[in-house]
Amino acid sequence: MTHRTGRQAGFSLIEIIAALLLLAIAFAALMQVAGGSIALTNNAADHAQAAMWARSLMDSAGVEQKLQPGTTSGNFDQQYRWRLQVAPYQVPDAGNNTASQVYKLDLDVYWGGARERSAHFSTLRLVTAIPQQQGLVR
Amino acid sequence: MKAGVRGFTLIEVLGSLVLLALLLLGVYGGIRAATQSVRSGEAAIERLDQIRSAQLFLRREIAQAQGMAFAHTDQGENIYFLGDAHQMRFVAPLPGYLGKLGPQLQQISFESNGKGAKRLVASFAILPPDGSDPKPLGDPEVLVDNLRDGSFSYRSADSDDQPGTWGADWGDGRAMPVLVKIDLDLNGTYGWPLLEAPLRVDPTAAGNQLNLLRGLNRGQSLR
Repeated sequence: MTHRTGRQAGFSLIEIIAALLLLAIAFAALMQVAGGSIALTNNAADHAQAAMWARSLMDSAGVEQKLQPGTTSGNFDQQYRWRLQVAPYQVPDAGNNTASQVYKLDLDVYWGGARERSAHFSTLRLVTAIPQQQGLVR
Repeated sequence: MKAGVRGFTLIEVLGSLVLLALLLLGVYGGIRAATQSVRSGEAAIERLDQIRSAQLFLRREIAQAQGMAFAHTDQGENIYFLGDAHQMRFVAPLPGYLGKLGPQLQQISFESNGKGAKRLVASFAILPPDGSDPKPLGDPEVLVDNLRDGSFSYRSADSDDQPGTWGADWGDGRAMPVLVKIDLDLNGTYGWPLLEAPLRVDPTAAGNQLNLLRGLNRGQSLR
């Protein structure tokens, strides 16, 4: 580029294109972040729903039917599936108490088709072997 | 062209203006799409929050349902829990942060939201200690808005010879169900995870509570 007095040098085409390219890249990155936040929100919503399904199942486990050691599975709805593992749980340092048994409930909730995701929930449940009548009447 | 200063021609200016306009249009479109997605994302989060807090509230209140009579049958027997497919009534304490002390008579029911859909509302009433009729307490609280339909069902306790059954009617208020199921059909993107909440009646809560407890209302040895 030649510099003459009284003549202002403009941008060259290459410079303009480079600037526009930079703008486009920055804007694309911005859009990517926005899209990522939407994906994260969806992911969180899926997990929240899975947790609500799991809570209902955990709460009613053992109320409708007696807890049996073993694995059961099923569908909550079209989207969510579950698998529940019940196993006897030995409380550390506990004496041999035959009147009650602690069970460990391991619940896995699965969802999503091609990219399957899952959430794991776990709890302990005390089951008294003796009928409650005897336990409560003074 | 004196002194070498030469302006842009009209065509050049117009061309650059068109290019700039196109560029700005693209930027504007992108920003608008981003704003819209943020708004819909916020609406979705708000909806999910409503669903979650409604589930949390219902689960806790049902679990804390107490064996406190809020009415009496014609024979003078206590009524603890009444419900059908579209409403239920029971007595439970409200969470402390609401600042309403003591057990309240709670009624969970559906009503129209005035926009062609329904909503799930909870209304509360104080039970006066002298045994007079419950006094309503404030306006009903909306738990979940904008739903197509919904229903409650109740499971009775297992008896010695047969397991309990699910039913849409809990007409006999002298005993309490062991499980309550709340199924809602929501408008919008999110479904309602079926709510199943067990009642946890505390047998030590009051004197005459034992026969309310699940599995204990057999009529033997408890009089």
